[in-house]
Amino acid sequence: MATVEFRQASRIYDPKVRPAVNRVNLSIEDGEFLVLVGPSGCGKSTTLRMLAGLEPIDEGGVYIDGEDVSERRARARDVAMVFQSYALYPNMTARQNISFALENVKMPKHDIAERVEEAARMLELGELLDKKPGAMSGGQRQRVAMGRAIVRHPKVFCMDEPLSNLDAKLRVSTRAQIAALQRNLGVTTVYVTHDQTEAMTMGDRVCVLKDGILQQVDTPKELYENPGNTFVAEFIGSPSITLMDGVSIVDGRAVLGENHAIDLGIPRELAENARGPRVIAGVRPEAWEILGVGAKPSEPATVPLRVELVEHLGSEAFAYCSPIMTADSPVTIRQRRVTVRADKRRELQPEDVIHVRPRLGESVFFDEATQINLAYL
Amino acid sequence: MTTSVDTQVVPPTAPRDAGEALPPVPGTQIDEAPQLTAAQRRRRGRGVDQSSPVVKIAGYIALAITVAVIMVPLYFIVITSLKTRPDIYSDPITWWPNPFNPQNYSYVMTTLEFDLYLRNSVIITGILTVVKVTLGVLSAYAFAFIKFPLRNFLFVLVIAALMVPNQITIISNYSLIAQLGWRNTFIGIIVPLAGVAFGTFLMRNHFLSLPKEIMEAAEMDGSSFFRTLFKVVLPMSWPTVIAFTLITVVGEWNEYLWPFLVADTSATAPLPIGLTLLQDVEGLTNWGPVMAGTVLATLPMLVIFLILQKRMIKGLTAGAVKG
Ligand SMILES: Nc1ncnc2c1ncn2[C@@H]1O[C@H](COP(=O)(O)OP(=O)(O)OP(=O)(O)O)[C@@H](O)[C@H]1O
Ligand SMILES: [Mg+2]
Repeated sequence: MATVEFRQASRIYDPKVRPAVNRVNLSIEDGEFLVLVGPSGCGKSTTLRMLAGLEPIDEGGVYIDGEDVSERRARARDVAMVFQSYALYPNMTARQNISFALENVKMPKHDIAERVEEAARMLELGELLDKKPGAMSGGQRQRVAMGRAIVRHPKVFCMDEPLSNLDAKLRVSTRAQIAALQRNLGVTTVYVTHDQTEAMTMGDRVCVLKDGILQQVDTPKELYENPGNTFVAEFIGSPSITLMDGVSIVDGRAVLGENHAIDLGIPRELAENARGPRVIAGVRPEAWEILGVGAKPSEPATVPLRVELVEHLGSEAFAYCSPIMTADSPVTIRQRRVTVRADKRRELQPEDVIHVRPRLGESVFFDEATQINLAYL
Repeated sequence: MTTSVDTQVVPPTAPRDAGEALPPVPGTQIDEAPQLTAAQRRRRGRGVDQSSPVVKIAGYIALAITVAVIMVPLYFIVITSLKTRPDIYSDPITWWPNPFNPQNYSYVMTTLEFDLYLRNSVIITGILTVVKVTLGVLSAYAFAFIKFPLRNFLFVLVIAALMVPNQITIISNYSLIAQLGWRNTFIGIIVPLAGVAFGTFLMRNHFLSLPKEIMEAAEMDGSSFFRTLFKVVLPMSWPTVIAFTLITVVGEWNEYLWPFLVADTSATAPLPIGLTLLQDVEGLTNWGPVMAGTVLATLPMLVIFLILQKRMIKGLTAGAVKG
């Protein structure tokens, strides 16, 4: 049980290029499940390995339970790691793999046996215990790797994409198992993934990294509904949010379309935070309301879109559309692409023209210059 | 929120596999037999043996010639060692000893002190192999996993040592050993031969090829330096260690030039020197004992090779990382 803190921690492989991890500040509470996400190469693994002690900390510090462990070797930090490749010892059976760390601290034999039994029960290792890793499936190896971490009763678990080698279905069930196990054990856990669903479902809080810089740490719900900047907004959520540059603020209202007819429902305090006449507005796929299909709008104050591609997911569908803009519109849409969630009962075809409007109060707004959410300014 | 992102409900124990395959949905599959073109039929026929008899016969002939080129001289060594002197010189040559004359062996063993040469060879090869394998593994482990100043420079030196032919250092080695009064001693034969540039090179490169994450896992598990070597690194390295051992054993067993210079009595000289002396004594007329000595010198290496080769081939890293 422990708290973890990164204080201005950096990892600089090469002073000539930007640091792989750049002045990260992050506090993790006792027993918390923190997920690190970000695009490939953003420094997730490096951050995790700095905590585990496998990567030196070139600037700043890492604290476990308030103690500076920056210069402490990995073995002395009381941190356990589950590797993406599992890194089981191939010459040892599952039992030997799991008890290896305990033997290294010269724990009495019967205590070791007890701990191994306990771990085996929790992870349903059963008859796997006397098999070698070479004779196990990927999912079984993954469980043995988990067992190797939990028998030590460490202060902190570090997991680097432990599910990425499993097939989709096994990943779903193992995801739930790991989350439940962590809640039972109550061990502070840092979990790296690039899987959106894992991040949103497993973490108490999610930390988004980009180019080694921490973007935002918050609960999954907050990240989704109130992303701190446009990067987080685009990164979290799938399909991703539609960002519109150049939305005007008129009389304290964020407006869109001809004659400023469409009101996005910006709260008064946010409108006051805006530094210029224009802001960036973000609309999630489910925040668009489809008001009509066909050449002529059935209602006033709608945005016309041309459907380019429809993705049917069974219970719902996503329409990827290009906006039909008036020539003098100040608004530009990033990627020139608007994603709209459609109920499965509404049949959409490519080349259809649909008329949509953002639901009042479901949009997020960002400052044009800094790209930061107006709510955080 | 109703997207798939944050509200996926997951049963904690979803079934691990789907069980047996069910029959296909009616109407989706065709009932007729599939087409079978001439090419498909031809390929199917080839399942086990796909070459024509002509190719096969040619292959066997080539194989037989290769085997003959290697085996006929060996065969003659063996049968000559069992022949009497007149039999060896009989014309035309005979392919089978008549009469059998195993006395050649007892003759070289007792009268010509081959038992002593054999003993010396075993001692020298045994000690050198143990020393070289130990030094090779330990130095390679250090080069691979410990960071110390000048590490890369020192490793380049080791490789450079590999490039220098033994014969170049032999004169200075000889004068040193002679000064120390180590001629005709085991220590004099062994010490100059105990350097291990090749083993260090081979083992270090192998160690570096081991999955880095396993070494990190051992570090996280608090395994000590030598425990990691014996419990984690070596068990994944047996094929390489055994290959290295085999190369060392054969090399030292056949080592000729250096022992020839520093040892010239049966007290310390190994078999190859004994063979030379034997040839000097008997060579020009009496080939039987010479061939018997040759067989005795070769046989132990054959046995060791047969014992070790199986272990060498078995890979041991299977299942270490994802597979
Ligand atoms: N040994 C190294 N030497 C130099 N640069 C490195 C080294 N290891 C990683 N980097 C750099 O550090 C950055 C972060 O790498 P890291 O492995 O942490 O990424 P990641 O977020 O885990 O990516 P992924 O999702 O692909 O695993 C990358 O840009 C990478 O190029
Ligand atoms: Mg990574």
